[in-house]
Amino acid sequence: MHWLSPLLLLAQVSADDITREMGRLQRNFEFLSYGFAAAWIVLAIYVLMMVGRERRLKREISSLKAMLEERQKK
Amino acid sequence: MATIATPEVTASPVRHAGSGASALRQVFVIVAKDLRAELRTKEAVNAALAFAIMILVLFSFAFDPAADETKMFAGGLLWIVFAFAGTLVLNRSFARELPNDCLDALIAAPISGAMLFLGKALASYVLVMAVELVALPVFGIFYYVRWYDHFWQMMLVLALGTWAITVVGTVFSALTVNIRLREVMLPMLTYPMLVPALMASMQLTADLVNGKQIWGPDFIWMKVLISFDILYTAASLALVEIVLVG
Amino acid sequence: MREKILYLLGVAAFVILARDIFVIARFPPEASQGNAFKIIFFHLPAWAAAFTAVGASLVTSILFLVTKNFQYDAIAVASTEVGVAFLTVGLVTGSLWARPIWGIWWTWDERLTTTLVLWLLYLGYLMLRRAIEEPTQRATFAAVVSIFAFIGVPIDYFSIRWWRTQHPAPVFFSSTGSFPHDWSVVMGWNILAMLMLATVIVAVRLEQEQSQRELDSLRRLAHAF
Repeated sequence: MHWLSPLLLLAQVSADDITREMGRLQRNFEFLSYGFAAAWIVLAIYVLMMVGRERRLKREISSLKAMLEERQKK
Repeated sequence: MATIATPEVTASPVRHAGSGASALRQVFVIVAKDLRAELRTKEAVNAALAFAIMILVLFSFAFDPAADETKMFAGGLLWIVFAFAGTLVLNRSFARELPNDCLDALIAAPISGAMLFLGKALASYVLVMAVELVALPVFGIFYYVRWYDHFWQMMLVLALGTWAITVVGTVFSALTVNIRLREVMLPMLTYPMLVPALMASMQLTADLVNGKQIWGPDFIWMKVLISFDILYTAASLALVEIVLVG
Repeated sequence: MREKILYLLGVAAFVILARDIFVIARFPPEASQGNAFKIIFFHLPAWAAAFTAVGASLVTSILFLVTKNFQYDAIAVASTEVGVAFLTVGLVTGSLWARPIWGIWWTWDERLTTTLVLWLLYLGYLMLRRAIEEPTQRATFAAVVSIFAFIGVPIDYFSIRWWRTQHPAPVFFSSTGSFPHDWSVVMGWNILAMLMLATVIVAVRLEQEQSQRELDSLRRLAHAF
C-alpha cells in the first residue's frame, strides 16, 4: 500500500488547506483594497496641496495687482 | 578667523587654462592655497576628527564591540563615520572663501572652473584622508578589528571611497555655499547620491577586516567603486563651470 | 482650448482607472499570492509614470542648461514634483503589497531601495529649490542636481541588486509565468491612464509655476515703487 500513502495524506490535509487558503485570499483582498485606496489617497493629497497653492497664488497675484493699480492712480 | 586672500591665484602669470602643464600648475596653486589656509587654523580637520572619534565612541553603546558580529558590519560603521566626518570638511571647502568675498575673486581669477574644482577637491581629499588615517587605527583599537592584514588593499579602498565622497561633496559644497540652510542641504544632497559608492566601500572594507582579499568574488564592488568615481568625476568636471559661474 | 484638452485627458484617465478597478476585482486571484498580487495594477503604472516624469525632468534640465529658457526649468520642476508624488504612490503600494505576501512592511530589495534612494534625491532637489531665492541660480543649480541624481539611477539599481543577492531576498514576479493576456491588456490601460493623469498634473503644476513667476515679477514691481 505504499503507493497510496501520499494520496491519503493529500486527502487528509486538503480540506483544511482549502479553507485556510480561502481565508488567506480573502485577507489579501483586503490588502488589495488598501493598496488601491492608498494610491488614490496619496494622489488626492498631492492634488489638494496643488489646489491650495493655486488658491494662494491667485490671491497673492490679485492683491498685488490691486495694490499696484492703486499706486498708479495716485 | 581671518581667511587669507588669494594673491597666488590673482597674481599668477598664467592667463588662461591652455596647455596641460599650466592647468596642472593652476590646480596645484589652489591645492596649496587651501591646504595652507586649513593648516593655519586647522578648524575643519580638528572638528572632523573630534566628530569621527565621538561617533565611534557613541556607536560602541549601540552594540557590543567585542561581539563577533561586529566584524560583519565594521565596514559599514567605518564608512558612516567617514561620510559624516567628510561632510564637515567639505562643508568648509567653499564656505571658507565666503568672508572677504574670496570666492568671487577665485571665480574671477584666470583659471577655469574645472581646474578650480579639481584643486578644491584635491585639497579636501588630502584633509579627509588625513582624518580617516587617524580615525582608522582608533577604530581598530576600539572595535578589536584587524584592519592592517591587507594593508595596501585597505589603502586602495580608502583612497577610492574617499575620492567618491570628496568629488560629490565638493560639487555640492560649491552648489550650497551661498544658500540658506547650507549645513543641512549638503548632507541632504550628498548622502543619497553616495549610496552606491558607500555600499561598495562598506562591502570591501568588511571583506578586508574579515581577512578576505578584495580580488575575490567581491571584486565587482571594486568595479562599482571605480566606475562611480570615473562617472561622477567626469560629470563634475563637465558641470562645475555652470555651478560656479552660473 | 488647452484647458479643455487637459480637462478631457484628466477625466478620461480617471474613468479608465475607475473602470479598471472593477475589472481587476473580478479577475481570479493569482495562484500563489491571491488578490494582493493585483496591487501591481496600480504599483507598476505609478512606477512607470514616476520614471517618465523623472526622465522628463532630466531632459528639460539639460535643455535649460543649454538654452537658459525658463520654460524648461518650469517643466523640470513640475515633472520632478509629480515624479516624487508618483514615487510615493509606488512606495506606499509596494509596502502594502509586501505586508500580506512577505509579512513585512518593507523589504530592502533592489527596486524598493532604489526607489527610496531616488525619492530622497528628488526630495533634496525640491528642498534645494526652496532654499534658493534668485531665479537663475535656482534653475541652474536645480538642473545640475537633477542631472547628478539621474546618472546615479543605473549604478544605484545594480549595486543594490548585487548587495542584496548575497542575502536571501524575496523576489517580485516569482510567478510571472501566470500573467495572462487579459491582465496585460488591463495593465496597459492602467499605465496609459496613469501617464495621462501625470501629464495633466504636470500641466497644471506648470501653470502654477508660471503664476509663481508672474507673482515674483509683480513683487519686484511692487518693490520698485
